[in-house]
Amino acid sequence: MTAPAGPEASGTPTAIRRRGEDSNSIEVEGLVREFKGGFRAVDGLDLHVDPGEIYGFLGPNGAGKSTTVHMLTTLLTPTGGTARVAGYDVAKEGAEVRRAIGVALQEAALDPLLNAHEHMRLQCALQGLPRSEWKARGDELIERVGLTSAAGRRVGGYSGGMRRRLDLALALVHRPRVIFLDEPTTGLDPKSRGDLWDEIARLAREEGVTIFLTTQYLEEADLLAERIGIIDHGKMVAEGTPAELKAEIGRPTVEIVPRDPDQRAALAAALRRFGEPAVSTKGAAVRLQHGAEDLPDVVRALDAEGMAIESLELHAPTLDDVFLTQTGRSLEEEVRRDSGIIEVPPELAARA
Amino acid sequence: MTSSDLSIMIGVARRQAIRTFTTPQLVIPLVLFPLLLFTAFVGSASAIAKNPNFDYYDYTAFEFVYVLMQSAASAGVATGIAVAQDFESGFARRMLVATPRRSVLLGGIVLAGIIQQLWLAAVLLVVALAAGMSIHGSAIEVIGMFGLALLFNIAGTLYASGVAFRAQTTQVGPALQLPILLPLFFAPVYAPRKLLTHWLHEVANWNPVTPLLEAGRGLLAGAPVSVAIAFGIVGGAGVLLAVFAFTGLRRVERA
Repeated sequence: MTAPAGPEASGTPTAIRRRGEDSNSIEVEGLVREFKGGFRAVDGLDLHVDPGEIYGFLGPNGAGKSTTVHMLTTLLTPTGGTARVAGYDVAKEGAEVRRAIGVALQEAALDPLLNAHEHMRLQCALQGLPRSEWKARGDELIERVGLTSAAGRRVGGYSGGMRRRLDLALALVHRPRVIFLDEPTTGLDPKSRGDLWDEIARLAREEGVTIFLTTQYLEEADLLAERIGIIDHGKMVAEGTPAELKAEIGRPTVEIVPRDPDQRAALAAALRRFGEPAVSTKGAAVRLQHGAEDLPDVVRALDAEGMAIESLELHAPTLDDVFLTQTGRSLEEEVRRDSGIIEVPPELAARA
Repeated sequence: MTSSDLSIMIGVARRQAIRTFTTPQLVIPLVLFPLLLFTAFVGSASAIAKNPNFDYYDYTAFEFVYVLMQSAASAGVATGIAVAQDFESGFARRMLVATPRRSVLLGGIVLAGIIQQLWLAAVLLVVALAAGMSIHGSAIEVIGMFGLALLFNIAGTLYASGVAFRAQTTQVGPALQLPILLPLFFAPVYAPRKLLTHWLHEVANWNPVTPLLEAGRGLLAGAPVSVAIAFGIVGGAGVLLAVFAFTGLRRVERA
């Protein structure tokens, strides 16, 4: 898998931002979406995305990511607050917003009975492209996402990766200034995911497109996004560059799994003197007060108490630690649970 | 209407045509049902034509008009069900988020229904002519009959789309067909109204589909009756159902 060159590394592409004014920004203030029964999926959200920036919007399932995207793309009406996309109010200037944005929603909504060319023609028509441009633009985008040889086949026979790539190509038909990608790589194999990351990074770097990317994958946000917003229960719980967010956590965490699961409580008590406890689902963890230099003391202390350990891991701060600190839950664990991956208890694993 | 609006309408209708006419599972039932109905009525009930009170010139032509109207309504309902399918699959979102002026989408949906109906009408006409149907009406009268069917199709599409915008699920399919199919079956289907007896005669007297069938049959026979009433009914219903469909689309937009 190729890690795309981060936008920071490539420099600010101000010269390439064709329609470039500051109008391809996203500005959200106090955004609220309340559903029937009073449930607030999005609860007073504030955020700002600069022109040409890749903004990662991170959160577990049900956090309010998709509801936010649906409001910003005019599919849902906000019940409170304001949001401007590409300079237009999403509630009052929906048609102008739709002209300026490209959208690839969570499930690549394609017609299984049409082929890629037919999808392109329809999308060109919907977006109001002059008829004379349809074929050239469609062929160009199909080639860019590597679907030329499959373009005459019905989409119903495409793999998940092919569908996602076609979906992205369709979102680009009218050269949008702002692109919304709602969990674009969910369910993709690592190769397809890497290809899509390359294309997303290229769009921001070379074409100056603003990209609003929602994801459950920390790695994806870490690699692609210049800034990240973490949403939980409809509220923004942290925002900043990946480096800033990790720096807030600062010190590494040591996570230890005892050989005897009954010793978890004793282990946690023994570790408490080395720093503040951190969340561990398998054993006990502590954010080391003096960093990695505490590690020898930790090992000696456990040895002195005769505590046998199954594993010891030193974690540099990750975005999951940021999420854990802000919400008290591990995003990686939630994603794993939501996707149906079951943790095998160590004793069962050992028996197997 | 701008050229861009027209492109959107044609694009939406073209997609539906590609889906329908290149997929045997979709196209065969669409054409088979009216054809079966036509052959069944003409084959089993043609003895009615021997009744001295049956004063229409040709039983095949008599049933052709009924099947034409029935297929017009069915094509409209099928188009509406396709809209509901688009909501279920998420494709509707693609169209809603890509189209600056969303009301144009409804024009495309109506156009899709018209294309299906024109194709069905052509197939039915060829089959009816091959079965020996003669046409006594003038060209204008025949165009008027097909025009009535087309308006009925548009009304059916608008009604079904309005329901689909509100329900956004194909589960409404049976409920969606009932209000259209029931009046069609309680109209003078296989015999003229004066041959119907008891409650069926009463229902046919009040059924809004009755003038539609009688006007269509009159136009095909070259002896127009109730034409203004029929156009009034189907035109009025079309206007009301257009409001119903537009408010449904607005409801989707205000979601």
